[in-house]
Amino acid sequence: MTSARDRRHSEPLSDEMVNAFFDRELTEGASEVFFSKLRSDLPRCAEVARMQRAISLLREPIEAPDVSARVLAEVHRRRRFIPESLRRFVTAGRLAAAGVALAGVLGLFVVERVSPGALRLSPRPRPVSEVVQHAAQDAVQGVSGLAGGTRTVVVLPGPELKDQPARRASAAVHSLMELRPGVTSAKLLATPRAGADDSMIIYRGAGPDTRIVLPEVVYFDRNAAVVLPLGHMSPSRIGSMDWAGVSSDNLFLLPAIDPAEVVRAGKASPRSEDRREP
Amino acid sequence: MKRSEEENLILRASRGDRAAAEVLIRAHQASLYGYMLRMTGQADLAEDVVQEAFVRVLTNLDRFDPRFRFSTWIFTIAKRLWVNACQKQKPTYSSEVVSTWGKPAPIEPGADEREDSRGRVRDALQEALLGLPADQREIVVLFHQLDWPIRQIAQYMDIPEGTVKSHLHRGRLRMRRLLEAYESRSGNVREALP
Repeated sequence: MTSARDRRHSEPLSDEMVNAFFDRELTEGASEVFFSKLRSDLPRCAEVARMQRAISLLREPIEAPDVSARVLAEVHRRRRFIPESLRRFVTAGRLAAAGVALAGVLGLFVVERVSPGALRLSPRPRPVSEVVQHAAQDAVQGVSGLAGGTRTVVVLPGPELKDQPARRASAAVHSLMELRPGVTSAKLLATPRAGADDSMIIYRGAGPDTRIVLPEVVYFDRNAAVVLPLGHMSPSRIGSMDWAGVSSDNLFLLPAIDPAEVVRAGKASPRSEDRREP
Repeated sequence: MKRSEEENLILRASRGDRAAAEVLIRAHQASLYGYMLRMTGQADLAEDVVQEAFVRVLTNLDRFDPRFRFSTWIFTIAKRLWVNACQKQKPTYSSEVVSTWGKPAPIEPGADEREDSRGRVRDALQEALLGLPADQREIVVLFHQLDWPIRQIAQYMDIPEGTVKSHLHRGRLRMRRLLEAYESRSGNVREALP
């Protein structure tokens, strides 16, 4: 009767076992069986030996060129190595920079907590009336100056409106100025135009949006009853004005306004409104 | 090199320590060059790839993920560089270089015939390796030449361990056949192989 061990030894050498041998996965007992079988199978033995020899040639060390100097030079060119003596200073410097950055962030946080909005770089959007209030005195001065230079404001360059100076003037608006939201630039309003030096545009809106625009120099907020010379406003402020709802239909021309009267227009009914045509 | 020691070197090199960077290069350049030489079959290309791989790695050490081995990382970079180089210009190893490797070395007067025969076997081996598909070649080289464990190869190539093994078995089988074919063309090889 043959034992299991003898049976294992008598079986032919399988490919799996050969692969396990080359994969270095044979246990001690399996190795014993493998070599025992190999001894009794000479063609297989030669085959395994040949492969083993090829593998050992594969494992022979290859003479590799030393690339370290070239690599280090190239790395140094791209990102400098730091001498050991300086490295601790660099580390300390980095820590210090990180500390300063952290302190800065904390400082900003504290300032923001104590005084919200104090760190805003751009001014908070404020209603035009507020801006106008702050510039009221300048506005009055500007209008006074205007009064000194121009007794009356002559409007309506179009010949058909000469005799009816205060009428609905959408056509005249075109000859005077195109004032369209999103199209007409505030810069244009502030730019003197030939032949319209004395002209005035009145925007007859309702409520807080009602404005009068003196295109050359003055921006008038009826609601706040002050006049603001455009020349006193920064371009960004002019550009940020809300022109929504302004169209030729609610723009009117006035024939003449005493600038002093314009200043009072917010409280009393302005002449423009009285002369408004249906 | 122990892994902790290597991590320490990487940390120092990333902080600008030239000596640490040099130790890293010297520790890995031979194996990387051997791998690339087997893969490309071209000594010049292998050297260029090894050099550029080290430059890339050392200038980006802060990106090193310590969960992986440094060798895995640099081999990956080198392999990508080689693949990119192959895409830019068609590899020439398939015909030219193989023939160069396969040419019998000129026999110097008095040279040992046995040594010459070993040289031919090396040529045969390289030819057989280059005759393998790239995946099989790579696995055979990593496993048998560089002694990488199956698990590390699987991680490096991002394939299951079983696939690594089947590639390895097929690669060995194919290499054996290619060697046998080479033997039939050159009697010297048979002499060198027992």
